[in-house]
Amino acid sequence: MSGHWPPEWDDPEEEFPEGADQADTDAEARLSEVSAYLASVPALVLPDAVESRISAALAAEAAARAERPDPADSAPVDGARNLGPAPAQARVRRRRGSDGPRRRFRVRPQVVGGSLVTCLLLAVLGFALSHAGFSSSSSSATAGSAAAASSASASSAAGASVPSAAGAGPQHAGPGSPFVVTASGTKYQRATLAEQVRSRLAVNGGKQTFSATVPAASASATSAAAVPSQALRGCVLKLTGGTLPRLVDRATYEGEPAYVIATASRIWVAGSGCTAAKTEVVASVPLAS
Amino acid sequence: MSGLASGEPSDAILLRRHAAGDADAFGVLFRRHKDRLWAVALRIACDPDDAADALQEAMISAFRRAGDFRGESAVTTWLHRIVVNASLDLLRRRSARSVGWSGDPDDLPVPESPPGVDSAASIDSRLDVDAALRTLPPPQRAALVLVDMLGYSVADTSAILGVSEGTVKSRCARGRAKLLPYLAHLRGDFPERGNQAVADGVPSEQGGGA
Repeated sequence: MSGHWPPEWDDPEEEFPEGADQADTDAEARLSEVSAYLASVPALVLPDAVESRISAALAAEAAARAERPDPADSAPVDGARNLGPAPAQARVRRRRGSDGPRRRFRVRPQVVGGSLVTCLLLAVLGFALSHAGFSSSSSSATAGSAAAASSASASSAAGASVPSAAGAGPQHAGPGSPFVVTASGTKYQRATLAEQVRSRLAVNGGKQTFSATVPAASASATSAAAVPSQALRGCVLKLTGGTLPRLVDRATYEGEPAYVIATASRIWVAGSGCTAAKTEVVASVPLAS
Repeated sequence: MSGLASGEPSDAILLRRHAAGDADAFGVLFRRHKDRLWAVALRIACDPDDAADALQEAMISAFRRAGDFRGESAVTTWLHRIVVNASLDLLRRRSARSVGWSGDPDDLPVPESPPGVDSAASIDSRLDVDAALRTLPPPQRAALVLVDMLGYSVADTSAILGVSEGTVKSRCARGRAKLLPYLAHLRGDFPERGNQAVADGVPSEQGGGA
Protein backbone atom coordinates (compact mmCIF):
# COMPACT_ATOMS: atom_id res chain seq x y z
CA MET A 1 0.00 0.00 0.00
CA SER A 2 2.89 2.35 -0.60
CA GLY A 3 3.66 4.53 -3.55
CA HIS A 4 0.03 5.51 -3.85
CA TRP A 5 -0.14 8.35 -1.41
CA PRO A 6 1.47 11.70 -0.77
CA PRO A 7 5.25 11.46 -0.53
CA GLU A 8 5.28 12.65 3.05
CA TRP A 9 3.36 9.53 4.06
CA ASP A 10 6.16 7.25 2.99
CA ASP A 11 8.81 6.07 5.34
CA PRO A 12 11.86 5.44 3.15
CA GLU A 13 13.21 2.82 5.50
CA GLU A 14 10.05 0.87 6.08
CA GLU A 15 10.92 -1.79 3.54
CA PHE A 16 13.86 -2.90 5.65
CA PRO A 17 12.25 -4.68 8.52
CA GLU A 18 15.52 -6.21 9.60
CA GLY A 19 16.31 -2.95 11.31
CA ALA A 20 13.46 -3.49 13.67
CA ASP A 21 14.97 -6.72 14.87
CA GLN A 22 18.38 -5.26 15.50
CA ALA A 23 17.34 -2.89 18.23
CA ASP A 24 19.15 -3.40 21.48
CA THR A 25 17.37 -5.05 24.33
CA ASP A 26 16.85 -1.89 26.34
CA ALA A 27 15.38 -0.01 23.44
CA GLU A 28 13.19 -2.96 22.68
CA ALA A 29 11.92 -2.96 26.23
CA ARG A 30 11.05 0.72 26.04
CA LEU A 31 9.23 0.22 22.77
CA SER A 32 7.32 -2.62 24.36
CA GLU A 33 6.22 -0.22 27.04
CA VAL A 34 4.83 2.07 24.36
CA SER A 35 3.05 -0.87 22.85
CA ALA A 36 1.59 -1.86 26.21
CA TYR A 37 0.51 1.68 26.93
CA LEU A 38 -1.29 1.97 23.62
CA ALA A 39 -3.03 -1.31 24.36
CA SER A 40 -4.27 0.10 27.63
CA VAL A 41 -6.07 3.02 25.99
CA PRO A 42 -9.80 2.41 26.49
CA ALA A 43 -11.73 1.09 23.52
CA LEU A 44 -13.88 3.48 21.55
CA VAL A 45 -17.62 3.24 21.12
CA LEU A 46 -19.39 4.32 17.95
CA PRO A 47 -21.51 7.39 18.76
CA ASP A 48 -25.24 6.87 18.43
CA ALA A 49 -25.59 9.67 15.92
CA VAL A 50 -23.05 8.12 13.59
CA GLU A 51 -24.56 4.68 14.01
CA SER A 52 -27.99 6.04 13.15
CA ARG A 53 -26.68 7.81 10.12
CA ILE A 54 -24.89 4.74 8.78
CA SER A 55 -27.82 2.47 9.57
CA ALA A 56 -30.06 4.82 7.60
CA ALA A 57 -27.64 4.80 4.70
CA LEU A 58 -27.56 1.01 4.74
CA ALA A 59 -31.34 0.89 4.89
CA ALA A 60 -31.45 3.14 1.86
CA GLU A 61 -29.02 0.84 0.10
CA ALA A 62 -31.17 -2.16 0.96
CA ALA A 63 -34.27 -0.40 -0.32
CA ALA A 64 -32.53 0.54 -3.54
CA ARG A 65 -31.29 -2.99 -3.99
CA ALA A 66 -34.77 -4.36 -3.45
CA GLU A 67 -36.15 -2.03 -6.09
CA ARG A 68 -33.43 -2.64 -8.63
CA PRO A 69 -31.79 -6.01 -8.19
CA ASP A 70 -28.17 -5.81 -9.21
CA PRO A 71 -26.60 -8.93 -10.65
CA ALA A 72 -23.41 -8.13 -8.77
CA ASP A 73 -25.26 -8.13 -5.47
CA SER A 74 -27.17 -11.31 -5.99
CA ALA A 75 -24.35 -13.43 -7.36
CA PRO A 76 -23.28 -16.42 -5.34
CA VAL A 77 -20.30 -16.10 -3.05
CA ASP A 78 -19.26 -19.71 -3.09
CA GLY A 79 -16.44 -19.17 -5.51
CA ALA A 80 -18.44 -19.50 -8.68
CA ARG A 81 -17.50 -15.97 -9.55
CA ASN A 82 -13.78 -15.47 -9.47
CA LEU A 83 -13.70 -11.75 -8.96
CA GLY A 84 -10.48 -11.70 -7.02
CA PRO A 85 -9.80 -11.31 -3.37
CA ALA A 86 -10.73 -8.48 -1.10
CA PRO A 87 -10.30 -4.99 -2.48
CA ALA A 88 -7.07 -3.90 -0.85
CA GLN A 89 -5.30 -6.96 -2.03
CA ALA A 90 -6.55 -6.39 -5.53
CA ARG A 91 -5.24 -2.87 -5.41
CA VAL A 92 -1.80 -4.01 -4.34
CA ARG A 93 -1.64 -6.55 -7.11
CA ARG A 94 -2.57 -3.98 -9.72
CA ARG A 95 0.30 -1.78 -8.62
CA ARG A 96 2.92 -4.45 -8.59
CA GLY A 97 2.87 -4.60 -12.35
CA SER A 98 6.30 -5.68 -13.41
CA ASP A 99 7.13 -8.43 -10.92
CA GLY A 100 4.45 -10.86 -11.71
CA PRO A 101 1.80 -11.82 -14.18
CA ARG A 102 -0.69 -9.05 -14.59
CA ARG A 103 -4.27 -9.65 -13.75
CA ARG A 104 -6.57 -8.64 -16.46
CA PHE A 105 -9.73 -6.85 -15.61
CA ARG A 106 -12.65 -9.01 -16.44
CA VAL A 107 -15.24 -6.78 -17.96
CA ARG A 108 -18.70 -8.13 -17.55
CA PRO A 109 -20.84 -6.95 -20.45
CA GLN A 110 -24.06 -7.01 -18.50
CA VAL A 111 -22.65 -4.73 -15.81
CA VAL A 112 -21.11 -2.31 -18.29
CA GLY A 113 -24.27 -2.26 -20.32
CA GLY A 114 -26.38 -1.66 -17.27
CA SER A 115 -24.14 1.14 -16.10
CA LEU A 116 -24.19 2.82 -19.48
CA VAL A 117 -27.94 2.66 -19.66
CA THR A 118 -28.20 4.06 -16.14
CA CYS A 119 -25.80 6.90 -16.92
CA LEU A 120 -27.68 7.77 -20.10
CA LEU A 121 -30.99 7.77 -18.29
CA LEU A 122 -29.63 9.99 -15.53
CA ALA A 123 -28.09 12.38 -18.03
CA VAL A 124 -31.36 12.66 -19.93
CA LEU A 125 -33.28 13.13 -16.71
CA GLY A 126 -30.91 15.83 -15.49
CA PHE A 127 -31.04 17.65 -18.80
CA ALA A 128 -34.80 17.53 -18.87
CA LEU A 129 -35.12 18.81 -15.34
CA SER A 130 -32.62 21.59 -15.84
CA HIS A 131 -34.72 22.84 -18.73
CA ALA A 132 -38.06 22.26 -17.14
CA GLY A 133 -37.19 24.20 -14.02
CA PHE A 134 -36.03 22.93 -10.70
CA SER A 135 -39.28 23.40 -8.82
CA SER A 136 -40.30 20.75 -6.39
CA SER A 137 -38.41 17.92 -7.95
CA SER A 138 -34.98 19.35 -7.40
CA SER A 139 -34.07 16.52 -5.14
CA SER A 140 -34.66 14.09 -7.94
CA ALA A 141 -32.42 16.12 -10.18
CA THR A 142 -29.62 15.64 -7.76
CA ALA A 143 -30.21 11.97 -7.34
CA GLY A 144 -28.02 11.11 -10.26
CA SER A 145 -25.10 13.10 -9.04
CA ALA A 146 -25.59 11.81 -5.54
CA ALA A 147 -25.65 8.27 -6.75
CA ALA A 148 -22.58 8.87 -8.85
CA ALA A 149 -20.71 10.43 -5.98
CA SER A 150 -21.82 7.67 -3.68
CA SER A 151 -20.77 5.05 -6.15
CA ALA A 152 -17.38 6.61 -6.71
CA SER A 153 -16.73 6.90 -3.01
CA ALA A 154 -17.82 3.37 -2.33
CA SER A 155 -15.62 2.03 -5.09
CA SER A 156 -12.73 3.94 -3.68
CA ALA A 157 -13.30 2.54 -0.24
CA ALA A 158 -13.34 -0.93 -1.62
CA GLY A 159 -9.92 -0.56 -3.01
CA ALA A 160 -10.44 0.77 -6.49
CA SER A 161 -8.96 4.02 -5.24
CA VAL A 162 -11.07 6.19 -7.45
CA PRO A 163 -10.71 9.78 -6.33
CA SER A 164 -13.97 11.47 -5.56
CA ALA A 165 -15.13 13.98 -8.10
CA ALA A 166 -15.14 16.90 -5.76
CA GLY A 167 -12.89 15.56 -3.09
CA ALA A 168 -15.61 16.24 -0.61
CA GLY A 169 -16.31 12.83 0.73
CA PRO A 170 -19.43 10.79 0.38
CA GLN A 171 -22.81 12.23 -0.40
CA HIS A 172 -24.80 9.41 1.03
CA ALA A 173 -28.16 10.07 2.48
CA GLY A 174 -28.29 10.43 6.20
CA PRO A 175 -30.97 11.05 8.73
CA GLY A 176 -31.97 14.47 9.85
CA SER A 177 -29.96 16.44 7.31
CA PRO A 178 -31.22 20.01 7.22
CA PHE A 179 -30.44 20.62 3.57
CA VAL A 180 -29.45 18.89 0.40
CA VAL A 181 -26.74 19.56 -2.12
CA THR A 182 -27.35 20.28 -5.76
CA ALA A 183 -24.84 19.70 -8.50
CA SER A 184 -25.93 22.21 -11.11
CA GLY A 185 -22.66 22.29 -12.96
CA THR A 186 -22.89 26.07 -13.06
CA LYS A 187 -19.63 27.77 -13.87
CA TYR A 188 -19.67 30.52 -11.33
CA GLN A 189 -17.51 33.54 -11.99
CA ARG A 190 -16.25 36.19 -9.61
CA ALA A 191 -17.78 39.08 -11.55
CA THR A 192 -21.21 37.53 -11.84
CA LEU A 193 -21.39 35.42 -8.69
CA ALA A 194 -24.29 37.18 -7.01
CA GLU A 195 -26.24 37.34 -10.22
CA GLN A 196 -25.71 33.66 -10.92
CA VAL A 197 -26.79 32.72 -7.42
CA ARG A 198 -29.90 34.85 -7.68
CA SER A 199 -30.69 33.07 -10.91
CA ARG A 200 -30.32 29.72 -9.25
CA LEU A 201 -32.58 30.79 -6.42
CA ALA A 202 -35.08 32.30 -8.82
CA VAL A 203 -35.50 28.93 -10.47
CA ASN A 204 -37.12 27.87 -7.24
CA GLY A 205 -39.27 30.93 -7.02
CA GLY A 206 -37.22 32.25 -4.16
CA LYS A 207 -38.45 29.51 -1.92
CA GLN A 208 -36.30 27.66 0.49
CA THR A 209 -36.22 24.57 -1.61
CA PHE A 210 -33.60 22.76 0.34
CA SER A 211 -34.98 23.03 3.80
CA ALA A 212 -36.81 19.75 3.96
CA THR A 213 -35.33 17.46 6.53
CA VAL A 214 -34.80 14.02 5.15
CA PRO A 215 -36.79 11.61 7.26
CA ALA A 216 -34.64 8.89 8.66
CA ALA A 217 -37.40 6.35 8.36
CA SER A 218 -37.88 6.87 4.68
CA ALA A 219 -35.27 4.75 3.06
CA SER A 220 -36.34 5.55 -0.46
CA ALA A 221 -36.39 9.23 0.30
CA THR A 222 -32.89 9.18 1.70
CA SER A 223 -31.62 7.30 -1.26
CA ALA A 224 -32.99 9.92 -3.63
CA ALA A 225 -31.60 12.99 -1.90
CA ALA A 226 -28.11 14.39 -2.20
CA VAL A 227 -27.61 14.79 1.48
CA PRO A 228 -24.30 16.33 2.43
CA SER A 229 -21.56 14.46 4.17
CA GLN A 230 -21.11 15.24 7.81
CA ALA A 231 -17.99 17.24 7.00
CA LEU A 232 -19.81 19.36 4.43
CA ARG A 233 -22.73 19.82 6.77
CA GLY A 234 -20.35 21.13 9.40
CA CYS A 235 -18.74 23.42 6.85
CA VAL A 236 -22.03 24.92 5.72
CA LEU A 237 -23.43 25.45 9.18
CA LYS A 238 -20.15 26.95 10.31
CA LEU A 239 -20.25 29.46 7.48
CA THR A 240 -23.89 30.35 7.88
CA GLY A 241 -23.72 30.47 11.63
CA GLY A 242 -26.34 27.77 11.87
CA THR A 243 -28.73 29.44 9.49
CA LEU A 244 -30.35 27.12 7.01
CA PRO A 245 -28.83 27.69 3.57
CA ARG A 246 -31.02 28.44 0.60
CA LEU A 247 -28.49 27.00 -1.78
CA VAL A 248 -25.62 24.55 -1.54
CA ASP A 249 -24.44 23.92 -5.05
CA ARG A 250 -21.53 21.74 -6.05
CA ALA A 251 -20.10 23.42 -9.09
CA THR A 252 -17.02 25.31 -10.20
CA TYR A 253 -15.87 28.79 -9.31
CA GLU A 254 -13.34 30.41 -11.59
CA GLY A 255 -12.81 26.97 -13.04
CA GLU A 256 -12.05 25.25 -9.75
CA PRO A 257 -14.35 22.75 -8.01
CA ALA A 258 -16.19 24.51 -5.24
CA TYR A 259 -19.32 24.65 -3.17
CA VAL A 260 -21.44 27.75 -3.56
CA ILE A 261 -23.44 28.34 -0.43
CA ALA A 262 -26.05 31.01 0.00
CA THR A 263 -28.35 32.25 2.70
CA ALA A 264 -30.87 35.01 2.21
CA SER A 265 -28.21 37.65 2.70
CA ARG A 266 -24.79 36.26 1.82
CA ILE A 267 -22.92 33.98 -0.51
CA TRP A 268 -19.87 31.93 0.28
CA VAL A 269 -17.68 30.01 -2.09
CA ALA A 270 -15.81 27.23 -0.34
CA GLY A 271 -13.26 24.76 -1.59
CA SER A 272 -14.30 21.22 -2.26
CA GLY A 273 -12.58 20.03 0.93
CA CYS A 274 -14.54 22.39 3.13
CA THR A 275 -15.17 21.28 6.71
CA ALA A 276 -16.14 22.99 9.92
CA ALA A 277 -12.52 22.98 10.99
CA LYS A 278 -11.26 24.38 7.71
CA THR A 279 -13.85 26.13 5.64
CA GLU A 280 -11.58 26.94 2.71
CA VAL A 281 -13.56 30.05 1.84
CA VAL A 282 -12.56 31.34 -1.55
CA ALA A 283 -15.00 34.22 -1.74
CA SER A 284 -17.78 35.76 0.30
CA VAL A 285 -20.07 38.44 -0.96
CA PRO A 286 -23.42 39.84 0.11
CA LEU A 287 -26.50 38.65 -1.69
CA ALA A 288 -28.37 41.79 -2.46
CA SER A 289 -32.00 41.31 -3.26
CA MET B 1 -17.43 -10.36 21.26
CA SER B 2 -14.85 -13.03 21.55
CA GLY B 3 -17.47 -15.64 20.88
CA LEU B 4 -20.94 -15.90 19.49
CA ALA B 5 -23.90 -16.77 21.61
CA SER B 6 -25.55 -20.03 20.84
CA GLY B 7 -27.63 -19.83 17.71
CA GLU B 8 -26.11 -16.60 16.48
CA PRO B 9 -25.05 -16.82 12.86
CA SER B 10 -21.38 -16.36 12.10
CA ASP B 11 -20.12 -13.41 10.13
CA ALA B 12 -19.66 -15.53 7.04
CA ILE B 13 -23.22 -16.77 7.23
CA LEU B 14 -24.52 -13.25 7.64
CA LEU B 15 -22.57 -12.12 4.62
CA ARG B 16 -23.89 -15.01 2.58
CA ARG B 17 -27.43 -14.18 3.65
CA HIS B 18 -26.88 -10.58 2.68
CA ALA B 19 -25.54 -11.56 -0.72
CA ALA B 20 -28.55 -13.78 -1.16
CA GLY B 21 -30.89 -10.87 -0.54
CA ASP B 22 -31.51 -10.88 3.21
CA ALA B 23 -32.28 -7.24 3.96
CA ASP B 24 -31.28 -7.40 7.60
CA ALA B 25 -28.13 -9.49 7.57
CA PHE B 26 -25.69 -6.74 6.79
CA GLY B 27 -27.11 -4.52 9.49
CA VAL B 28 -26.51 -7.25 12.04
CA LEU B 29 -22.95 -7.59 10.79
CA PHE B 30 -22.40 -3.85 11.03
CA ARG B 31 -23.77 -3.61 14.54
CA ARG B 32 -21.67 -6.57 15.62
CA HIS B 33 -18.41 -4.89 14.66
CA LYS B 34 -19.27 -1.21 14.66
CA ASP B 35 -17.18 -0.21 17.65
CA ARG B 36 -14.00 -1.80 16.41
CA LEU B 37 -14.52 -0.47 12.91
CA TRP B 38 -15.17 2.96 14.34
CA ALA B 39 -11.99 2.76 16.37
CA VAL B 40 -10.00 1.94 13.25
CA ALA B 41 -11.54 4.79 11.28
CA LEU B 42 -11.19 7.33 14.06
CA ARG B 43 -7.64 6.44 15.01
CA ILE B 44 -6.51 6.62 11.40
CA ALA B 45 -8.50 9.68 10.36
CA CYS B 46 -7.87 11.54 13.64
CA ASP B 47 -11.09 13.46 13.15
CA PRO B 48 -14.60 12.35 14.13
CA ASP B 49 -16.26 13.88 11.08
CA ASP B 50 -13.79 12.33 8.71
CA ALA B 51 -14.01 9.02 10.53
CA ALA B 52 -17.79 9.03 10.26
CA ASP B 53 -17.57 9.74 6.54
CA ALA B 54 -14.96 7.05 6.03
CA LEU B 55 -16.89 4.46 7.99
CA GLN B 56 -20.11 5.19 6.14
CA GLU B 57 -18.33 5.05 2.82
CA ALA B 58 -16.73 1.77 3.80
CA MET B 59 -19.97 0.17 4.94
CA ILE B 60 -21.76 1.16 1.74
CA SER B 61 -18.88 -0.27 -0.22
CA ALA B 62 -18.92 -3.52 1.74
CA PHE B 63 -22.68 -3.72 1.35
CA ARG B 64 -22.40 -3.46 -2.40
CA ARG B 65 -19.39 -5.70 -2.81
CA ALA B 66 -20.34 -8.53 -0.51
CA GLY B 67 -20.58 -10.76 -3.54
CA ASP B 68 -16.86 -10.33 -4.09
CA PHE B 69 -16.01 -11.90 -0.77
CA ARG B 70 -14.61 -15.36 -1.36
CA GLY B 71 -13.87 -16.42 2.17
CA GLU B 72 -10.10 -16.38 1.86
CA SER B 73 -9.90 -14.32 5.03
CA ALA B 74 -12.12 -13.66 7.98
CA VAL B 75 -15.08 -11.41 7.31
CA THR B 76 -13.79 -8.99 9.91
CA THR B 77 -10.43 -8.83 8.18
CA TRP B 78 -12.25 -7.97 4.97
CA LEU B 79 -14.36 -5.32 6.70
CA HIS B 80 -11.37 -3.81 8.43
CA ARG B 81 -9.50 -3.70 5.17
CA ILE B 82 -12.30 -1.74 3.57
CA VAL B 83 -12.46 0.67 6.49
CA VAL B 84 -8.70 1.19 6.45
CA ASN B 85 -8.78 1.83 2.71
CA ALA B 86 -11.66 4.24 3.04
CA SER B 87 -9.91 6.11 5.83
CA LEU B 88 -6.62 6.36 3.96
CA ASP B 89 -8.40 7.34 0.75
CA LEU B 90 -10.22 10.08 2.59
CA LEU B 91 -6.99 11.34 4.09
CA ARG B 92 -5.40 11.22 0.68
CA ARG B 93 -8.19 13.27 -0.82
CA ARG B 94 -7.88 15.76 1.95
CA SER B 95 -4.12 15.71 2.18
CA ALA B 96 -4.11 19.48 1.81
CA ARG B 97 -5.52 19.58 5.31
CA SER B 98 -2.49 17.67 6.58
CA VAL B 99 -4.69 15.98 9.20
CA GLY B 100 -2.36 16.87 11.95
CA TRP B 101 0.69 15.37 10.34
CA SER B 102 3.06 18.28 10.29
CA GLY B 103 6.22 16.28 10.45
CA ASP B 104 7.40 18.62 13.16
CA PRO B 105 7.20 17.05 16.61
CA ASP B 106 7.69 20.47 18.19
CA ASP B 107 4.16 21.27 17.17
CA LEU B 108 2.91 18.75 19.67
CA PRO B 109 1.55 20.04 22.93
CA VAL B 110 3.48 18.25 25.64
CA PRO B 111 1.80 18.79 28.97
CA GLU B 112 3.73 19.31 32.14
CA SER B 113 4.47 16.22 34.13
CA PRO B 114 1.39 15.39 36.14
CA PRO B 115 2.04 15.65 39.86
CA GLY B 116 -0.21 12.74 40.62
CA VAL B 117 -2.75 10.47 39.13
CA ASP B 118 -6.12 12.12 38.89
CA SER B 119 -8.86 12.37 36.33
CA ALA B 120 -7.38 15.40 34.68
CA ALA B 121 -4.11 13.58 34.24
CA SER B 122 -5.93 10.64 32.79
CA ILE B 123 -7.63 12.83 30.25
CA ASP B 124 -4.31 14.47 29.49
CA SER B 125 -2.82 11.06 28.90
CA ARG B 126 -5.47 10.17 26.40
CA LEU B 127 -5.06 13.46 24.65
CA ASP B 128 -1.35 12.85 24.56
CA VAL B 129 -1.88 9.53 22.86
CA ASP B 130 -4.18 11.09 20.28
CA ALA B 131 -1.77 13.94 19.65
CA ALA B 132 1.18 11.62 19.45
CA LEU B 133 -0.56 9.36 16.97
CA ARG B 134 -1.18 12.31 14.71
CA THR B 135 2.55 12.78 14.27
CA LEU B 136 2.81 9.46 12.48
CA PRO B 137 2.33 9.11 8.74
CA PRO B 138 -1.10 7.52 8.21
CA PRO B 139 0.18 4.13 6.97
CA GLN B 140 2.39 3.82 10.02
CA ARG B 141 -0.44 4.98 12.23
CA ALA B 142 -2.75 2.38 10.74
CA ALA B 143 -0.33 -0.44 11.51
CA LEU B 144 0.23 0.72 15.06
CA VAL B 145 -3.47 1.18 15.73
CA LEU B 146 -4.31 -2.29 14.48
CA VAL B 147 -1.52 -4.11 16.27
CA ASP B 148 -1.05 -2.19 19.50
CA MET B 149 -4.40 -0.57 20.14
CA LEU B 150 -6.78 -3.15 18.73
CA GLY B 151 -4.72 -6.25 19.41
CA TYR B 152 -4.60 -7.69 15.92
CA SER B 153 -1.80 -10.08 15.12
CA VAL B 154 0.88 -9.02 12.69
CA ALA B 155 -0.44 -11.59 10.24
CA ASP B 156 -3.99 -10.23 10.42
CA THR B 157 -2.72 -6.68 10.15
CA SER B 158 -0.68 -7.69 7.15
CA ALA B 159 -3.83 -9.04 5.53
CA ILE B 160 -5.82 -5.94 6.42
CA LEU B 161 -3.24 -3.49 5.13
CA GLY B 162 -2.21 -5.55 2.15
CA VAL B 163 1.49 -5.37 2.97
CA SER B 164 4.02 -7.94 4.12
CA GLU B 165 4.36 -8.93 7.74
CA GLY B 166 7.85 -7.47 7.72
CA THR B 167 6.49 -4.13 6.67
CA VAL B 168 3.92 -4.26 9.43
CA LYS B 169 6.61 -5.02 12.00
CA SER B 170 8.77 -2.26 10.65
CA ARG B 171 5.97 0.29 10.68
CA CYS B 172 5.05 -0.63 14.21
CA ALA B 173 8.62 -0.48 15.47
CA ARG B 174 9.22 2.87 13.85
CA GLY B 175 5.91 4.18 15.05
CA ARG B 176 6.63 3.16 18.63
CA ALA B 177 10.04 4.75 18.45
CA LYS B 178 8.50 7.99 17.26
CA LEU B 179 5.87 7.92 19.96
CA LEU B 180 8.29 7.19 22.78
CA PRO B 181 9.42 10.78 23.39
CA TYR B 182 5.84 11.98 23.59
CA LEU B 183 4.67 9.30 25.91
CA ALA B 184 7.77 9.12 28.09
CA HIS B 185 6.27 11.38 30.72
CA LEU B 186 3.49 8.83 31.13
CA ARG B 187 5.83 5.98 31.90
CA GLY B 188 4.62 5.84 35.44
CA ASP B 189 1.20 5.05 34.03
CA PHE B 190 2.44 2.38 31.68
CA PRO B 191 0.90 -0.97 32.41
CA GLU B 192 2.93 -4.10 32.77
CA ARG B 193 4.34 -5.40 29.55
CA GLY B 194 2.18 -7.27 27.18
CA ASN B 195 -0.73 -6.50 25.01
CA GLN B 196 -4.08 -6.88 26.55
CA ALA B 197 -6.65 -8.48 24.35
CA VAL B 198 -8.30 -5.24 23.39
CA ALA B 199 -12.00 -5.08 22.80
CA ASP B 200 -13.57 -7.98 21.09
CA GLY B 201 -10.97 -10.59 20.39
CA VAL B 202 -9.23 -11.48 17.22
CA PRO B 203 -10.85 -11.54 13.83
CA SER B 204 -9.99 -15.11 13.00
CA GLU B 205 -12.28 -16.21 15.79
CA GLN B 206 -15.16 -14.33 14.38
CA GLY B 207 -16.67 -16.86 12.16
CA GLY B 208 -15.00 -15.69 9.03
CA GLY B 209 -13.55 -17.64 6.34
CA ALA B 210 -16.23 -20.21 6.09
